[in-house]
Amino acid sequence: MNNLIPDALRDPAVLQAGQVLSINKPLRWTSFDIIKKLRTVLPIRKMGHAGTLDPLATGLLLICTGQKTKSISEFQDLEKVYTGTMVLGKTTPSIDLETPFDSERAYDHVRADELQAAANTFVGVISQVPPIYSAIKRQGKRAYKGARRGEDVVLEAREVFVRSFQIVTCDLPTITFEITCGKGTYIRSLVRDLGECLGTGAYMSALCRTRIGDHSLKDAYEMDAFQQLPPPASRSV
Amino acid sequence: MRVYQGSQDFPKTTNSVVAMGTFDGVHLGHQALIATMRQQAQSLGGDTTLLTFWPHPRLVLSREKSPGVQLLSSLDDKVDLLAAQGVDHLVVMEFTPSLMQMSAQDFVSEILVRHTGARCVIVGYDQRFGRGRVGDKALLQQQGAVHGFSVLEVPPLHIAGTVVGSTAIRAALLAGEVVRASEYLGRSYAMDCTLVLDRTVDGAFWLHPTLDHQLVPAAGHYIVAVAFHEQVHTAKVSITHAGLHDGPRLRLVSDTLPYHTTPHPPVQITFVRRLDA
Repeated sequence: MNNLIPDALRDPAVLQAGQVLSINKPLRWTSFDIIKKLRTVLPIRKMGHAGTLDPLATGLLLICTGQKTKSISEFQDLEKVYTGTMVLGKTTPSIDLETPFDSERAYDHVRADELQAAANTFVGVISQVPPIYSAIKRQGKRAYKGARRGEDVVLEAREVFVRSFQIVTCDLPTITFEITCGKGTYIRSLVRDLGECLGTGAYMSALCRTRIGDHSLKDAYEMDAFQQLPPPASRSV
Repeated sequence: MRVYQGSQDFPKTTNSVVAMGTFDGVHLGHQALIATMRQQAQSLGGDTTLLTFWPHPRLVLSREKSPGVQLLSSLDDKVDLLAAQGVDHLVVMEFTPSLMQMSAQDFVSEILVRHTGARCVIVGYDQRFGRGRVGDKALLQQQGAVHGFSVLEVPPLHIAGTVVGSTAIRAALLAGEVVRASEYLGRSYAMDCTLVLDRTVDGAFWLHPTLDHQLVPAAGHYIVAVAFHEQVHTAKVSITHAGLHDGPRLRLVSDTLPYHTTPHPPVQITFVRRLDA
């Protein structure tokens, strides 16, 4: 991780010509918070991020400045690598810790040697229902209302490519994983779907993006490094 | 009804009649608007498309000095209710800080025109959208002339001199007037909760609403219907809004609800009428 901002990055002309900044996004910051902060310490306003990270996720966020903002969509097409932690046995409507638990099931029937095989069923081109639908009970009966969801409600899925879904450690109910995937993949949906596959439900307790294409988190700047900069003397638009 | 997250995956259909809004409660006012949409779609030979936002924008905005909002329905409920109204497509837009920053103009050109392919945009009375609430019917009409869509304003629905809207429904519920609220909703007000046994008294349970920020009616005693494991029971609920602990408390008393073995089962309570004055 980098803690020294090179002088070139404080030059308005260089920033306007276009730079790609690798940032290690801190927990609880929105991707937009990063841009707001960078605008106060760098002499440029025109910047955008190439692929958002949720507030509860950390890791690599690429910020394009000046002319490089035109290339943002190219970065969004690149493959990404994430490491994360999921917890079996409980679910939340948002599949992360932003919302309270809404179900609880036993997990002691899960065998560690089955986990990788289960994760592998999500590798390749898969059809994925986006995470907002965990706020919508997807199938079958909402038994307490005595009514089945109408067959006429169809939740649209999206086709995405998962190159690999590796189980790294397992200490039930906690599992750590590493996922390599293409554009548009919802990690929360993978966590939710693996949890359903195992019959326990699951939520994601941590997520970190470690790569976007050839850009690695290892080379990213910490926000602290920017916050220590004095305010710029002049600013280009 | 097909449900999409975000507008970018929405397959642009021709002749789409589009309305946008939070549709909290999917009340009779909303239902009248949807009926108008369906008529319009039929005459255009097109589909009805609703754009809705989740979480409720006023919850996202509350960090920016908005007073927040008390919700009438969950996203789940809205999907069911809108499907029952015969909407063809529901686009659920995740209301993020960046969507919040989108200008009304960009919303029209990107979302309404480019993603949704609107042929006709339905707008409610004094409906506003976009950053700074700059977007209104006039902007839509001007943009419609440029991009080739018509704009149809739907007037508000009145019942006995009151505009049927979320404001009136919230006010009625907060005054304990659950019957009046149901007249505007077109059904009894319902809350999804988990049931927790009160071990101190037989037949008593605590209710924990599962929807964050859901509106809890005024303090008092109510007769409710409880849907539990495909059966409906009658019960009494007492609501207290005490100041000392977090939020309101809902206590349910029932002679017929069986003690449960699954921990914290989900139930739905619907408010039938209020008991005390």
